[in-house]
Amino acid sequence: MMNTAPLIRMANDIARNLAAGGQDAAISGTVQHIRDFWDPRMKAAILASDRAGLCPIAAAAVERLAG
Amino acid sequence: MNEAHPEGSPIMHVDGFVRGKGKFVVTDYIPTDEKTGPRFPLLLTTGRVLSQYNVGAQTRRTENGVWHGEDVLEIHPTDAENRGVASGDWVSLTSRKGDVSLRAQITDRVAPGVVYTTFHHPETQANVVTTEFSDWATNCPEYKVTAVQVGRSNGPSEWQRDYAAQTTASRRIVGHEAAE
Repeated sequence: MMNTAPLIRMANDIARNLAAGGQDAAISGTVQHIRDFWDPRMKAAILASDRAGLCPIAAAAVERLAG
Repeated sequence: MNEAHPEGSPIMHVDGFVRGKGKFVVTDYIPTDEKTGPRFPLLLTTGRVLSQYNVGAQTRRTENGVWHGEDVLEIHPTDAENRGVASGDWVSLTSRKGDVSLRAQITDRVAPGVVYTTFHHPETQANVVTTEFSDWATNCPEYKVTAVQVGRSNGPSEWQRDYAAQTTASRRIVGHEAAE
């Protein structure tokens, strides 16, 4: 199984850099970025992870991806 | 090719760009996660010189080597003096990630606390030292900010000597008889 620590860090990075646009835009932007640019195995790994360490925006984005 | 253009678009953006002429995005300043400290008090940044291009695969095969025959570590006089380093001395350049050895060049082109080298010669392996941080959007590596320590060295590190030997060995060409 893929190591999820780098994925958590990357998701948090994306969220942190989109935060200036406001919470809703940051969540949508993070969702869209992961959908557009992440390898399917990376997406599957972060969805299957315990999501510990995700910042609130990234956690909300992953939640939306799972739904 | 899509439903609107089933034959494709040989020339794109003829009448305009899809989402307008530009998209400007406000971003906050996000500092790097890399930090200096007592073990790694200097900041390494890497760059280029005019006479070599990228990793020198093309330019090292020209006469340009007379201007830049090796990558050197540019270090401020104060930082050099604190470490007993003179121009031309071999120094070890160490980060949390790895270490390399190269020759020092004392200059005030760099600010105190900053050291600079280039990546035009493969034996330097500058990116053994640089971090694994990368850009959030593109994963482009963060090559320009690495916390390092510099100290005097006897010469190339053991792995650099092994690497050089392997490089030479892998480039040997076996002689053979001409076909005719």
